[in-house]
Amino acid sequence: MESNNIKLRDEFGNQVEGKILNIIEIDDIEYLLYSVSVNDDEDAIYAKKIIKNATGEDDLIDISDLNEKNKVFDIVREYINSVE
Amino acid sequence: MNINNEVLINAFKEEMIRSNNNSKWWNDHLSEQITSLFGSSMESSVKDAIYSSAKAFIDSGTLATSQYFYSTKELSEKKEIFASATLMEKGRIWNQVNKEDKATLINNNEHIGFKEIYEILTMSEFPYEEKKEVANLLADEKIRELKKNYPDLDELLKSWLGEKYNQIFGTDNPKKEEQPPLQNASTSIIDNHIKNNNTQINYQNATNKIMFFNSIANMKEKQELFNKLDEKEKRFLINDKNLSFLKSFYHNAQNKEELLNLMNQNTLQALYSISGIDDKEFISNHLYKKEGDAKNRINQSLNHINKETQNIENYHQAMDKSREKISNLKNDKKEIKLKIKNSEVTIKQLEKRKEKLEKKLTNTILKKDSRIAFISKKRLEKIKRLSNEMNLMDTRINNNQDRLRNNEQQLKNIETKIKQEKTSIRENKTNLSLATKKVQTYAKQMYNSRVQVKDLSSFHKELIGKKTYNHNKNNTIMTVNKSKIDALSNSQKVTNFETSKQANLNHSGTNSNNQTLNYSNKSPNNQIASNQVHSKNVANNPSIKSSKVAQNEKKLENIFNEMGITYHPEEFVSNFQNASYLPPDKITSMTYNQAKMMQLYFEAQYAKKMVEIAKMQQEMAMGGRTKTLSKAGFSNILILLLSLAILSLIGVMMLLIFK
Repeated sequence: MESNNIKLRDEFGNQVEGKILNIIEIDDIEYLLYSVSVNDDEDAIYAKKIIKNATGEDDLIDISDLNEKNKVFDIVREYINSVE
Repeated sequence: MNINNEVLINAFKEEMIRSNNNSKWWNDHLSEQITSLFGSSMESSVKDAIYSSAKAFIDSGTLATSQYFYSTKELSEKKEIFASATLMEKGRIWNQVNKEDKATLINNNEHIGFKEIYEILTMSEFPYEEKKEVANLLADEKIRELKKNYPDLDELLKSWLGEKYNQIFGTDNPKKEEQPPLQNASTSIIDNHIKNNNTQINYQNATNKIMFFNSIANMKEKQELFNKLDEKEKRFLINDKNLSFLKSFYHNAQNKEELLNLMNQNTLQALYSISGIDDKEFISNHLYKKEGDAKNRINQSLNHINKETQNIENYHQAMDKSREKISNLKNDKKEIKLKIKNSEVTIKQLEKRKEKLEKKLTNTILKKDSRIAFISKKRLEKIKRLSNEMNLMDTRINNNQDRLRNNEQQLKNIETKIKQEKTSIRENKTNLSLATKKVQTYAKQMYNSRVQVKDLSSFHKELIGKKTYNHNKNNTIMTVNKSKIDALSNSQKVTNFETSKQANLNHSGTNSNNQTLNYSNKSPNNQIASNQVHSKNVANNPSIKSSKVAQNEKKLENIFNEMGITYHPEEFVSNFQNASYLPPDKITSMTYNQAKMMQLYFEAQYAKKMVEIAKMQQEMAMGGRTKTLSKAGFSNILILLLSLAILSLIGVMMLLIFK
């Protein structure tokens, strides 16, 4: 069975485990939503852009464009608030 | 460097050498000894300089070598130094001592054990010539013990010792005559070319080829030997469990692709685990390429299969055509045979008739009257008529015979054609059989390639593990309660968010940018990021609020805040949302603030529904559809009407209550 986790490494080189939440498609671009545990009660939510790499397989990258980032983050916030 | 420092450093080094303590001891006691020798009042910078210089002196292995040469030591002490030295230090000492001392050192069990000698003789770090020298300095008894305890050394000992080996173990060695010149101890200096050739011969003669191959210290020599071997031998060497040489051998190889192709999955896995980042990437790319090649082979096989299937179809069609032709030709044949038969019958009849006519004519001519040489006119005419008839018979017979010949020729032609068509059917059957076999072969190839792709893919995934992505905490979108995470991960993939400017949807009169968000849930196809990322597929339709509604709610919240009321309208209103929908007694029991809250809530609901209805209308208009409103549409309108009614009711009640 495929894992529902994502392996991450933070800016200090620490291994971080993320949980995949969903894929959200905005203006024909797919973004992966994932969460990382902050404490016992709360998780932080992040998004990465899904792209095709050179071998034709899906890969994840950070959203570098500020406008795109703001747009995606706003929609994701709105979407998350809507989920009961 | 400061001159005083240099003097102090040299003095300290001399003390290190003189002390007879080994490198490990000095490593452990360095700082302590510096303080002890120079006192605690010495400047820390000088101490640091002495410390770093002494440390380098120890790490380089020069301390052990120098200690050995320290003139004041006796041989027994030298041996002790040798005994306490590491293998690498022993190697350095080895290069500095004379042959007699070497023999003494190497044959003393107290200073060097069998295991250490075995390690020296098999370690790839030590050059071949040094190993040979060590072997030749060993006492006969020691060689016997080594051979007994480590049978895998036998071949190497043979090659190093040459004639000496035969002297120790007798001349019953069957390969004695075949021993290459290298095995003779007297040929210690040989050129590389001969050496390489001999290395190959020695390798071929070696009982333990792996051990022999491992023992070749010179990487170039090792590579050259490897290149000369056939594929089977290469596979044998490269896939051996003893992988001590593999990392450096692979790292230095010119044709890494070849090596990787020769490796089985266990070797690849082992190599990957011990390789550096660059080599890891190369291995990974190699596997991608191999997978790609297998996929191409699948496509090629598929193309071949399609082509051969088309050929099979063509052969079938050609055979059907030939069969049809044969059938037609057989009909023609029957017809012609009938014609021939008819012609034959006609000819027979005509010949009979001719015969009769001949007789009649003869009789007419040879009548009695003719003897008197008188032929009446009447008889003459009869003769003439009979002669004409005869000629006509002849012509008809000839014509029928011609027809007969033609028909016979046609018959022959038809039979030839039938034969040709039968030959064509046989050829097509052969081709069909060949094409079917080809299809089977290509199908098998395709299956094998598919299995290979599957194997490679799963092996590759297993090998490289999950990809790790960069993570920046500053990119947090929001923080939510853990309970919400489950709801989010259980929702379907959300698709078709489109951000567009829709100016006609401003129902609240505000000057916001009216960005509207449309979304729909499609059947999930959640595979992302090549085997790494998957999302659960649970049917759940999350609702989403448009930014317009969010703005209205914000506005509502601000109004409540100004009124000093905590904003929880949904919680509050839910108390009133039942089937009876706001009974009068509940409304009359409300405070002003509660009533105001209710009013604002339903205003917000009204605005929300208006947005939704407008959106639906626009969607329908844009889609050019004339369908009737859905159930959701009806419910929205109903709620809208109800909200309006409730608003009016609240307004009236408030008037009544507060008048």
